[in-house]
Amino acid sequence: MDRRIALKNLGLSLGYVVATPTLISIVQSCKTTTGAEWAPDFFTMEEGVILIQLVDIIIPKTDTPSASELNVHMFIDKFVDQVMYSEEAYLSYLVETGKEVDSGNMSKYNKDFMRMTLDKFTDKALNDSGKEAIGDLTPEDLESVLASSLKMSKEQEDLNNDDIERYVQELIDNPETAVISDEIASYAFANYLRGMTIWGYKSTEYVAEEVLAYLPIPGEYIACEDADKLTGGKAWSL
Amino acid sequence: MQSKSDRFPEGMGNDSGELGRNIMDHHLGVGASGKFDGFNDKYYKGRKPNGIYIPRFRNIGGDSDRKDYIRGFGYQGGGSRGNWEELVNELAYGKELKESILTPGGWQFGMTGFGEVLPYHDNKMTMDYDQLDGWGLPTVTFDAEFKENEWKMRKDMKEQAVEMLEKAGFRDVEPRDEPGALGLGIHEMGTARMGRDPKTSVLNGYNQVHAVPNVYVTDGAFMTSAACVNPSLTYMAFTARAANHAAQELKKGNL
Repeated sequence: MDRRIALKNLGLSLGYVVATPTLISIVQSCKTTTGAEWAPDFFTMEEGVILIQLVDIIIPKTDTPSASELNVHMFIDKFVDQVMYSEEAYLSYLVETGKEVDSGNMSKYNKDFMRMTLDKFTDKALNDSGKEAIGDLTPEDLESVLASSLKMSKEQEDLNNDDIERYVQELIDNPETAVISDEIASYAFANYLRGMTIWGYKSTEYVAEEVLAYLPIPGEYIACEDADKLTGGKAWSL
Repeated sequence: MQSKSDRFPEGMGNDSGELGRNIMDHHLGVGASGKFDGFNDKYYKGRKPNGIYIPRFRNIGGDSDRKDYIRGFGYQGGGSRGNWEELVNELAYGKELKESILTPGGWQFGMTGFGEVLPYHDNKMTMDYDQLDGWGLPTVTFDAEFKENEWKMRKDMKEQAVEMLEKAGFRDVEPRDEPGALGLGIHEMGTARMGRDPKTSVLNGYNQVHAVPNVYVTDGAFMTSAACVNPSLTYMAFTARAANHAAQELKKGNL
């Protein structure tokens, strides 16, 4: 199928309607042609452009589509907008349920944290590149921040996650003095965005059915067999 | 409990005072998981109802007997190939990351225990006539907790799972222990215990209310102990037996 038609259909299946007056034209914003236009719900237009570039740095186009070609940025925007809690609601959820603060949960629950860490991330990109407006940031500028935020040892990641948990606990106990360093905030954003990008990408109909091994109605059960023989070495999508 | 009368002021069939008492469940959410290097060319296809089951091996005599708790537990578990989480740290982003998230991850194996909860007289449900529901009916209050025997058993359930996985050659073995509360196991049992003596039980050996022979109770309420296995088949067997008994009694004109 013609990829543009396929992408248009994917957009429609996400409930995306081309009727908003201000739309991000990907043609202009990052000089690649996907034929899709989009107005984000949660993110600003400028942030939306950044988001598109970042998801494609995380999952670029190869012989299979990039993340933005499958509208993963739209999925993330909708998810943050409609599913995540506000910070206030997230903190009261933690207090009411008595659940422990878990850095792994932040990407699922706290949309204000997402916004705050995105700002820190773009601030760092502006600072490092010497540019003034986030509209001027290029994929190269963003990639360099992504690299410095994500390429680290497992031990360093654990320390960063501890810092995030300390910060959230402080938001509950002592909101006046809660602080998180710019570096940890950039790491948090990059790490959560990566998780959501991978999750969103693997959840798309196209990747689930056409790229991964897809078995919607399992019949026989084979406990152990050569992976190449079973799926051509691909992971099962469900 | 709500069917009160002059004959049964404490609820129908509740001459013994045992109705609503001895609530049981299974305690679970305790066990361990580990990772395994190798077999990277192997995979599976389809769905299975369960992976492995390790039957109870505690307190069945000889060396298996414990001094710190009575009764026992079984394990359920299985192996699977993981997801991308383990790989992304090194791969960060880009083409290599993309490749790795589309191929099966490393093998992992998890096991979780299902432990017996003892019947305690003070683990109970009661009717609250002060807090009524939207239809003016009393609400139910559950007042039940795990006690010393369950907590000691859980400790063993966790330690044994870790030891088994470590001895079997798994790496990064992580214990897990999320006790929750009674009810999470959704294997609710008790509240109308079966017994020979009407003074200490609600139902007779055919699930029949001692003092009201035309009433049979055939869900999990009759259970007097919880064992550590899934109870549905036991309920079904007792229900079939109770139904057969009722049919025979009807034919004899006793009901």
